[in-house]
Amino acid sequence: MLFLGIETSCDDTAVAIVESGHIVRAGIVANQDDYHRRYGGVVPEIAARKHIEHILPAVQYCLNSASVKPEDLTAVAVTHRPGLIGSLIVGLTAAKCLSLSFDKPLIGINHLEAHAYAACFSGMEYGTGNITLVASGGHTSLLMFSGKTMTLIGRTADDAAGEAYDKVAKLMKLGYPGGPVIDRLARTGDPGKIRFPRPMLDRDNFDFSFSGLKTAVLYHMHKYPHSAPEDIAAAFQDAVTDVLVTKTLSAAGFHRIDTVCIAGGVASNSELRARFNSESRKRNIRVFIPPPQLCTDNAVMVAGLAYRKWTGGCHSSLDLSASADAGLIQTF
Amino acid sequence: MVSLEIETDSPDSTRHAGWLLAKHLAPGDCIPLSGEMGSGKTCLVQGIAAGLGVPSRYPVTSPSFTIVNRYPGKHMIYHVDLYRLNSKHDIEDLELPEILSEDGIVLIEWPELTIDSLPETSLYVHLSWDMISEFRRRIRFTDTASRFSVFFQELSHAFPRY
Ligand SMILES: Nc1ncnc2c1ncn2[C@@H]1O[C@H](COP(=O)(O)OP(=O)(O)O)[C@@H](O)[C@H]1O
Ligand SMILES: [Mg+2]
Repeated sequence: MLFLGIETSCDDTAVAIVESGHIVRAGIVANQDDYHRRYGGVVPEIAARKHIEHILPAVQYCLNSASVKPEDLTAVAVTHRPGLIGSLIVGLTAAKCLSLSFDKPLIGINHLEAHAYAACFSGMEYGTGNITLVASGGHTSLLMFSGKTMTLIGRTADDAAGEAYDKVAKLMKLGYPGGPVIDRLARTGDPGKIRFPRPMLDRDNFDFSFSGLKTAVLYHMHKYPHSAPEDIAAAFQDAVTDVLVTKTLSAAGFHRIDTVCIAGGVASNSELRARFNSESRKRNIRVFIPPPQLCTDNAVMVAGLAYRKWTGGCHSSLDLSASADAGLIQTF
Repeated sequence: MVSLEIETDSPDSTRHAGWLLAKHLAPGDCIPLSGEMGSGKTCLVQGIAAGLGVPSRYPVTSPSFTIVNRYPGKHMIYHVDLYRLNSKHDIEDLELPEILSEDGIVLIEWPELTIDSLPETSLYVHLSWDMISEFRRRIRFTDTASRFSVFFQELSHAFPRY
């Protein structure tokens, strides 16, 4: 069974064709004028206009490179929430048109659930009860999957984890995107020389807060202008990692779940991956982390999850609407 | 044009200033919040949202990535953040004009790019920090249409001159 997936929830236009949930037949992510990295974390791709330009060529590319004809498809899947509303609408409208003209059903996909599904490309069996951390520039959410339900059990109260990386990188004049540069710099630094706060770690809930880290770094840089950037990067990364790992694993403990997944762009961070692996081993928890290209926004996860939705009997009607929010009630 | 500057000494006191401001806001208001990264713009919006009765299940978070967050309260709040935008050109692609025409309250972080294309604004807010204390912020409110004199009174009462 072949599924066409479309993902336009934020800046990237992504399309993929995936067979039976896990065989990637084609996938493309068209992003900002080919990785134009202008200084300061600025992404010019917010424009829905860019999605409009990219989307049909990307669909065509996938059909061609997978040698798939529209009639071979089982259904057309699309991210319809959460995200930037203008961007979502472009993908959704394209998917509806394709669904009509190919005469194939439409399947609406939740972006956060799709991120969590990416762990199935690293060997997790679909349907396994788990706690998933989705951490990226726009999201920091803890999801619990058990039985057939997905519940939001924690989220950021202010800045997302990836946003903290970008903003701290900007303060340190390291360029954009912040994740990879800080990760690289941190490897040569000593995380023990500076201690930044671990926001919300003392709270007995699973929410996060990262906005204080940017001010902590700012004041540190002012007070100790000769502090080595690699030590600041290492200490910052240590603080973020500590909070993400500790909260996620204690959520697993609290809910007696023995499997955790991490997804989203921040899941490609080397320190986070290493720490998740070592800490969970100590607690007898299994960790699944998607390959890096499936951590950031992509459509493979959308087309993959679509197979599960379809075989589970779900599809959407053509009046499916886009929504900025995740549509999940937080439970605890 | 009247300005009032207050000093807050914690995130909660900044939220309190926002909370006081909330009841003086009316649908159609569009308020630019300027100030450097970490100066407390998002924190102030949290206070305004609380003052407008936004339920706690709608967390007031940074819209740097989403560009616009919406919170339902006594009036609809559009929390805009233009941090990631490069040029006026990018703004044309946003739904800003639609949002501004809605009957809600628009609060804009990093408003510099739009400042001359905003509808006539009656209140400007500027936040800043100094290096003396990590928890101290200065917030300057500028009333351009003499609409906020009562708010200014309440504010100077709640935040006596330092
Ligand atoms: N007096 C204060 N007012 C507001 N925020 C403060 C204050 N003291 C410390 N802070 C901290 O500074 C940070 C301000 O972050 P944020 O509101 O996201 O700023 P901005 O939106 O301007 O970038 C928060 O982490 C907050 O806890
Ligand atoms: Mg902000």
